Amino acid sequence: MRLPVAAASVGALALLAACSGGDDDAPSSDEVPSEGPIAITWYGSDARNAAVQEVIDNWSSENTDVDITSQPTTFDSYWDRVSVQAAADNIACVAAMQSRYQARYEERDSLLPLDGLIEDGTIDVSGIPEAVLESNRNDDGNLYVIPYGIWFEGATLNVPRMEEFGVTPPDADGSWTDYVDWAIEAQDSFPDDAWAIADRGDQITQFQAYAMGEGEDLYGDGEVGFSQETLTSWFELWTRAVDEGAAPPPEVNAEYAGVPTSQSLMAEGRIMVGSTGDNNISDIQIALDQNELGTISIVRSPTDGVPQVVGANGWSIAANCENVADSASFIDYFINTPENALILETQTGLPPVTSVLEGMQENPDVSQAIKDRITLYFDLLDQGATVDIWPDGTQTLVSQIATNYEEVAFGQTSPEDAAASFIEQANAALSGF
Amino acid sequence: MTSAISIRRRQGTVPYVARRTFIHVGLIGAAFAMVYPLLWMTSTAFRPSEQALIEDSLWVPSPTLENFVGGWSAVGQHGFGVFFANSLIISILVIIGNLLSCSLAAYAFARLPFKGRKIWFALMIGTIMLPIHVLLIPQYLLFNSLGWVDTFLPLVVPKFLATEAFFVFLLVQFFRLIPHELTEAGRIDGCGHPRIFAQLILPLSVPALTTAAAFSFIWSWNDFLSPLIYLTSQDNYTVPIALSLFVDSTGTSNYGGLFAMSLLSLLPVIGFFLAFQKLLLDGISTTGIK
Repeated sequence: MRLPVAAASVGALALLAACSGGDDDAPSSDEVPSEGPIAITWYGSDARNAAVQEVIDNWSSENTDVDITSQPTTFDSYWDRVSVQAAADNIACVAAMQSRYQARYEERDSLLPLDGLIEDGTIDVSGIPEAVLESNRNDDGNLYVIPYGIWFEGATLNVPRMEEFGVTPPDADGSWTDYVDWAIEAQDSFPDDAWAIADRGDQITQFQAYAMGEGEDLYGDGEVGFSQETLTSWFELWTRAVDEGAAPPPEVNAEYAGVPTSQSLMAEGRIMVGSTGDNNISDIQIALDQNELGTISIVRSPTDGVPQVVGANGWSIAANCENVADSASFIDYFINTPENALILETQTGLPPVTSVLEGMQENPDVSQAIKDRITLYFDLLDQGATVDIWPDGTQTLVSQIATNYEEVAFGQTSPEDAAASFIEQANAALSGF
Repeated sequence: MTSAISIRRRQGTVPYVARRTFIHVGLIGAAFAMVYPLLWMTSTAFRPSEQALIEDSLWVPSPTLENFVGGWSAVGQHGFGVFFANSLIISILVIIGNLLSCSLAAYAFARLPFKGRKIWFALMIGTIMLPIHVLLIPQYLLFNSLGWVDTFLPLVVPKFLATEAFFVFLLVQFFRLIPHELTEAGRIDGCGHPRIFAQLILPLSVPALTTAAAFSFIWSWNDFLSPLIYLTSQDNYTVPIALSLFVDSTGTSNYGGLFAMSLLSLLPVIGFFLAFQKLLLDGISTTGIK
């Protein structure tokens, strides 16, 4: 019996050490360089960039001695640029990261471990829920990225529109299978150019929710974390929905692929149940309001009761940065200043600090849609949601699963073959090739 | 006899006219299909932004300039005036660099006998096949070590070193068409290579040089990846980088502003083509580049 106890003790100590972070490589504020200009780089649309710039300008007005350069670009362009900069150790001092992308830069020592700066209070993370902060921690025990915006994907329902056609909304606590079963039954009540459910077969995030409901996950240890049977059944689930007429045919999906969410089938009131990121809800609602086509509500991803995952945008400090002190000061200001949340209006995601979120809920100037998202986010945390960090190299799988599913939808291949093809691609990506 | 001929002619004329009409209608339809996206972009630029992606029609019932006004200042602290100026400066320097360096290199390949000329020419042509993604990181490391990142230098200086193999090839082809008797006459009159190049070859090569200038301008004006990598400050962004900021997968996009600024960004390219249209076509037809 002693051996297991000892092993458990060693394991617990190792876990404690890992969780506490702050290894020898993580410098404190006394040990970091603090001279010179800082560059801040992030991704987003023009509206988001303008809001982040306003926050930067406010910080700059309080730190007039710091020379700041802003380097915003779009999401896709951002990673092209940062990957080249990382090769030359020339990343901007304060660089935005995202939970699906950050592993590459953490594991290649492009980022500075921040535990030392956290421990001495230079960056105050006490207001960030522990589950969010700790799930962002790298396997080496260090924290490289401080979340500045939380986002999640959930199922979306247009309840008033369903009720217009005399349909009872589906139970929001089930799985995607439950939603599809409901949709097939309800479809007869809807007109020919409207569908009970959006075809989500090509969405990797929703497949993840499905896999989690099956007791699996997207990624395992160096390979995919789900079985071929699970992905095959996912493809079959959605081809069944399409074949039964409960989801739009593939040619309609192809027509609407890539359109802004504000012009999606959901925004046109032609879809009763769909899914999207929480930050898209407002755009869809504006479109629905223009034509009085109902009200969209977002509920958690259909994981069949298993806690879902969330994503996080975060700030990091480049390992090559020559003014770490001011970079850390900016990050602390960005995440902990309540006024910033009102400037950003959740365009960069929900603020990570609980007290800031609570302040937004009490603020009459904040829209009800944002307040509802905050409430749902708190619910997700209560249910055990964690930040989902993707392994390096897997980002292309977002489009890969869409390609494989489209081949199934247009009858070019079978669900089994498409699932095998995707798993082969995913495992190749996870192995580094 | 006369009436028989006229009947045959009429019989032949009717299908001929019908055939010609059919061909012309088809060509007009195809031409319209080709031009439609441009026309749609133009009409959308004058449409209220919220209707940008809704309307397929080219007709704008109540045109507005709000997209131009809003789009001009929507990106960055200084607006599109700075981005257009940056693009223009880079494009002009790229044209000058390419014309100077590529014509010199082309003259050497076309007119100077030197050891291994064919091998060097083949190697130079071979560089066309190297994708930019292969070169990007080594070049970035080099320019970063020189301290040139976030300046125009990485985009401009290589153009003064005859790195555009396509233009060297294009000019070599043209220079080879110039009769050797002309350059021989120059040599008899005492001209060295610099004078033959400057006073004989270049004046005779205006169409080819115009073609190289036009392609240099268009490629440089539209280039996205290199400016994205090397120009990091907003104040140094070029027009394509600024346009991309209108469309992002992570948030709402100002499509009206995007189309308005896209329309403006096309004007220099169209203007360049119209101004040098004749020389451009001459250059393309005489160098066999089609």
